[in-house]
Amino acid sequence: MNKTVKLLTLTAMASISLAAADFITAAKANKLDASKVKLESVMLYPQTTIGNNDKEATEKMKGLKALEAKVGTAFNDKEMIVVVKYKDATNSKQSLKSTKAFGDGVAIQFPTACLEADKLPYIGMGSEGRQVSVMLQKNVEAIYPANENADVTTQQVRQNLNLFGDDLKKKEAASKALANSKYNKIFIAEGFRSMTEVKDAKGYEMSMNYKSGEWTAVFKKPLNDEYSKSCDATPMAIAIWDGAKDGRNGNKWLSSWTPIKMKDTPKAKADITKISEKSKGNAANGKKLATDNCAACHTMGDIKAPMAYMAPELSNIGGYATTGYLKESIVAPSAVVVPGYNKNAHPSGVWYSTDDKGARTSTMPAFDYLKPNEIDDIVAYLQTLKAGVK
Amino acid sequence: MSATANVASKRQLAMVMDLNKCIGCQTCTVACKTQWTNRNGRDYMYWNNVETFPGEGYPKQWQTSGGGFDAEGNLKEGVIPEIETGYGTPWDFNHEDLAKGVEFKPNAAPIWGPNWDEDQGAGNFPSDNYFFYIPRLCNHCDNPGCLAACPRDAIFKRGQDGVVLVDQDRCQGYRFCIAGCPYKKIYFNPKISKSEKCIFCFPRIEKGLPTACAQQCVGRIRFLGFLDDEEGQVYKLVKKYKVALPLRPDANTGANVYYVPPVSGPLKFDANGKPIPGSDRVPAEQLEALFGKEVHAAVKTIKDEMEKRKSTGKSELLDLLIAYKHQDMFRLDAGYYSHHNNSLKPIDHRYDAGKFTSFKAVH
Repeated sequence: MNKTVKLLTLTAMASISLAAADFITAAKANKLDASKVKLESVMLYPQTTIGNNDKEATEKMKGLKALEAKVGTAFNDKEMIVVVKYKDATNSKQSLKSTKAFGDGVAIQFPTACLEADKLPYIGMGSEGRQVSVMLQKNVEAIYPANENADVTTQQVRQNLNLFGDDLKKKEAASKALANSKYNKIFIAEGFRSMTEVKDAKGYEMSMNYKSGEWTAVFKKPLNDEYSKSCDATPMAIAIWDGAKDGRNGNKWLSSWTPIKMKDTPKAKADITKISEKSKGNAANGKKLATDNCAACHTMGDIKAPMAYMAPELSNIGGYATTGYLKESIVAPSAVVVPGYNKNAHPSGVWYSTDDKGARTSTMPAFDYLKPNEIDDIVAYLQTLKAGVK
Repeated sequence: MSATANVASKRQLAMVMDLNKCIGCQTCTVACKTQWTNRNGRDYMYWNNVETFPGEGYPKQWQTSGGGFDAEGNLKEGVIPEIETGYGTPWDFNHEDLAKGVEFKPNAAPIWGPNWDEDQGAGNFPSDNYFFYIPRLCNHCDNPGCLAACPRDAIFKRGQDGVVLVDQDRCQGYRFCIAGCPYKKIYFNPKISKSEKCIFCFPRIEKGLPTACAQQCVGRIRFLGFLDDEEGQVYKLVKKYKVALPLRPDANTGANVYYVPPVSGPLKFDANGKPIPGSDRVPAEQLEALFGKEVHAAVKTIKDEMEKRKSTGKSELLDLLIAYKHQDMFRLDAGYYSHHNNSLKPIDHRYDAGKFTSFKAVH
């Protein structure tokens, strides 16, 4: 009997330590100190919605488990900081001598505007009309400007140094000074492939440090600017790339929208509930419904679609999609169209059509004839679909 | 060819190379290298290389490294070569120290490089050994594997001439393009963390000059022109006589660099060292693997024309292949470019200035 009790306690403890926080409380402070921010657990899941064509990277991503990050934020009247800590056995760096070395990376994502909590941008870099801004930092040896800042006189050949001597040595030194050891970028996006670098953003700072098998990434941004707004509950998503697994682009772990409680208001509370709530439907019945209605195109866990590339792969959808998004996608698939693959990559499995004005219509028909309780059941099933914890 | 509508360009600039005349001198390689790739992190790249066939090629084993499309038009998986093992780390020799009487040696210990297996070929000397040279560069495909693989829409095909280019502003160095190219002719520049590739010398082309590799070719094996220019030699070799064929058409990308296959090499020798009449040293199935089934008809056409020339003294095809004048070999319609807006705008206009940001992109 004692044994049973002990086991139960252990199970309960395990689930407590791994339960992701429903929200992160942002501390208001005059001085923003990353070392003093209170950290909470956020779970990140391997992005499997869309694959890629790098055979070795796909192999390395196979069977990946979920990743736990400790995340905290603080803000003052002007700025906000976000701290992301996570364990990583390897400190991977992009190298100047390699075409195959990838650096570890961390990104955070915000909607560019305060939107209704059940109509957030698509988690994978936003969606048409629901834009996101992304702060990305990567671990690199050095990055040079593409064209030596268009100064052709510094574009010289090392072997010529013998011939032209000190003059070229000076130019070589000038060229070396252009190296940037930080890969810190800010992007704006409305869906896969649309990510565009923002080069005029001001007040952004990023750093990442590796110590004792753990990365600590710190992001600092303006509280409000053209690219993101502070809301009562500001939704944030986190992505982590492991260079040792050839991580870049979609080869990553991704969190769901995680609200940051900025204000103690009823709206903040209501938004947090909406963003974090789980469907109360019957997942077992949902699986049956999904098999009948969805499996003709979607691969979901042990349910396999007849053909790869036909539709977004849903095996980790429970890890990074909100209830609001899942419901909307079933009832109105064209409200948020996942742009999917480059349209030349898989012409036999086209995810959407585009009219002459560029508006996208999903290939998926609307399943708006399903009863509300059936949709709840399907959503409850989809929310069970996620990789296990490491 | 599964060219998809949104990469279709109005005209297509194409190149034809006559493999019968390639002597593997690498002048094209050097012309390209000194023009484009001897600096700024491109040092290891050879946008143009000449490799010995049969051989492992450059990068090593590119023919079995994936990419391209299957019969349904779906992009196939591929791998990314590493500099040291796939391309070869650039090395130099200690020329300046030779005067001091030291040993002449490389400043690195390379384990692979372009032309590592040059002139090795296959078969047994002298009875049936063989090889030929294949100069290779970006094929500026109708449906480029690199473009299809790019998750950033950073690769585009120019409308005015179908030249495939990387938008350096959008490229984020993900390298899926390298896995997607069946020819492994797009490269990652680790110094700038972006992909780079043969640009078909577009700044020269726009001024009516041929590409550096074609201009410098001592064997005069390279023809350059628009595929729809019926007066052009490229058109005649590719469309009229059908003797110029794309490399590895099974990659289904619609390559626009065409090759006149090697014909009429020396005959095989029998056990007594006597030539075997009618024999071919290069196995026909290897030519078919490289250039598709059409290669047999192309070889026959060339042989027939050679016979015709012998008997009648006339053959337009052989006159073309003799390559009398550069001005006929390179028909670039200089007027076309001077009347055209030679923009470098990506195909996707969403990224034109200011859609997402107040930053104005420079193209």
